[in-house]
Amino acid sequence: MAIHVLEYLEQACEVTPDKPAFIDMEESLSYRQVMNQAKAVAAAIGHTFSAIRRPVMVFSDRNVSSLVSFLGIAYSGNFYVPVDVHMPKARIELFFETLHPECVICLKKDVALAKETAGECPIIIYEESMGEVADEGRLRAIREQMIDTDPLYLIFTSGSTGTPKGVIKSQRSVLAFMEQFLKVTGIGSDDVLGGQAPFDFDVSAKDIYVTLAAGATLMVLPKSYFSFPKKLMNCLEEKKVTTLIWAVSALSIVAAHKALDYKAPTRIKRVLFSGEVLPIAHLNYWKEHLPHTTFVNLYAPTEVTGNCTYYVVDRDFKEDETLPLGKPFPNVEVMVLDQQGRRIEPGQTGEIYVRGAFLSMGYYENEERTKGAYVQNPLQHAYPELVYKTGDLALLDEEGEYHFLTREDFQIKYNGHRIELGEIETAVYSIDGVDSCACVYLKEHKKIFLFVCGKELDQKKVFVELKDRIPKYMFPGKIIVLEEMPFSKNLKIDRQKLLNMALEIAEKRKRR
Amino acid sequence: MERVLEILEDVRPDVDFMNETKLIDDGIIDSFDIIAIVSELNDEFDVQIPIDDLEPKHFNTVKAIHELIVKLQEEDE
Repeated sequence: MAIHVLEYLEQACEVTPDKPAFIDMEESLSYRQVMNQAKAVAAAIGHTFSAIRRPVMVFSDRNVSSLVSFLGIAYSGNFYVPVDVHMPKARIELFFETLHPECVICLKKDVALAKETAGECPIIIYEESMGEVADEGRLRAIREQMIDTDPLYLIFTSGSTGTPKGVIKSQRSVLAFMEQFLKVTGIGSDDVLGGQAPFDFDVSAKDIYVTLAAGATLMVLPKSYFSFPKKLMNCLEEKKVTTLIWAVSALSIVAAHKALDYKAPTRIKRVLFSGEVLPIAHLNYWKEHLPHTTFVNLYAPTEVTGNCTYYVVDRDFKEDETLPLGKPFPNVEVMVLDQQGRRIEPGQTGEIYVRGAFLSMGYYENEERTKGAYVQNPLQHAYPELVYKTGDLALLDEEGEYHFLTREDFQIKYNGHRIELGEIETAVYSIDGVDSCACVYLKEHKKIFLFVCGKELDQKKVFVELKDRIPKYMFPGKIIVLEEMPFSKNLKIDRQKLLNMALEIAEKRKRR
Repeated sequence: MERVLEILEDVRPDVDFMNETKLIDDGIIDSFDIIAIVSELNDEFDVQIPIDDLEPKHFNTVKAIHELIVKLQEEDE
């Protein structure tokens, strides 16, 4: 049993050193190159600080250098934190404040951004680290100190108080998940993955570690291909891509643009998707054009590494049906419990709890939130056993299958990301001149409406200010400046009324 | 053309659409914007922008977008 994910890389390096591991639009790196370059990054980190198990930030983008940086940090005995280089500055600053990383790795072109946001934190320029020579003795000494419960990476997820939460992932959780995931999916060394997920999004960890564990090849797809999907389809075909592990929103984009009518890639063996519930109309579009492809619905919150349930689409679905969550992967248990902490019966709904080695370690420097979500298993009190309380609801149908239901709080799925409406509201409140604000989400239109009040405000000002504070995927689809905020009797913002107003605006446009 | 402009300004109130000529080439609007704009245009003008027309050149200016819509509406008749 492996202790460290780098064993995947080293194993592949022994078997197929010259095979391409990671490819982007500019370059292709073989397994040997990935290993050597990652060791060079580790050497550069070693010159900056000598501690291990500390956070190192990476300004990530759709390129193989991000991946090499991640593995270099792993070689250095530390854990990596991907931060998308296109994030608003204020948010990047917030990440630095939450983490206090030992250093940040960026490309030469992003040094200005790093200097602006990193404060006192040392900056390693990726291109310069490539000149470093690996210190094999030091690498061995570090590896001897590492155990599989050590952290490998940290992913930020939306937090309702406006401060993003950093979810820490152990080596163990990645190794435990990958072992089962490869068995269930059958992905092997002949496969080429078409990577869609941004590296600061946990779906991408599957692309990276499935590739290494299987000795396969990862083609990193540029983001712009998803706005102009002709290029995307040509690329999938040219690069002989066999496997897609995508966010549902990406599958939906292809379906909405009818991109498979233009060209359906001929080698796609499997399409695995997660992030939100895939509309059946979109699934059917894909199935119709790729009749020999296996489609798999995956589910897990960011706090669970990889996924905890999977459903292989094995029958036709009508548009008013929903895809079941399916069954748990081997070596993880998914429990759906009622409010009294008992397992639910068919026909009932309950909250999803997850237990097992796939669980992440908790939230970074946030004991309170960690304690609220990682709780003693409600089904037994005889010995300590932490399980993750997802906050997600599921329905058990009469056939014994679980179905995902909408969230019970203000958390929504939008553009494939998990978003707390409260985080957007907190950002809006930090804009000068805002008296009150509220976000509502219109599910049927997939649109966030932001209502805001303030004397000096207009739509443009709110937009420009907000752009500096929250990432694009969180952005409200419509900003409405109100003279007066509607309040309910108990002086809370009347969200129902705002929802009705939003619905009216959305429907009006459609009718015109 | 005004309705096109209205949609664009709704998605990105911070962009001066009348004077920008390289919306895509200069990266002024990104993939999230494109998706939002295309879906609003499809709804508003009751067209379906085909994948063959999803090319950067059709989205660099308000005028180009408008011309694309007019072309699609004419083809429809």
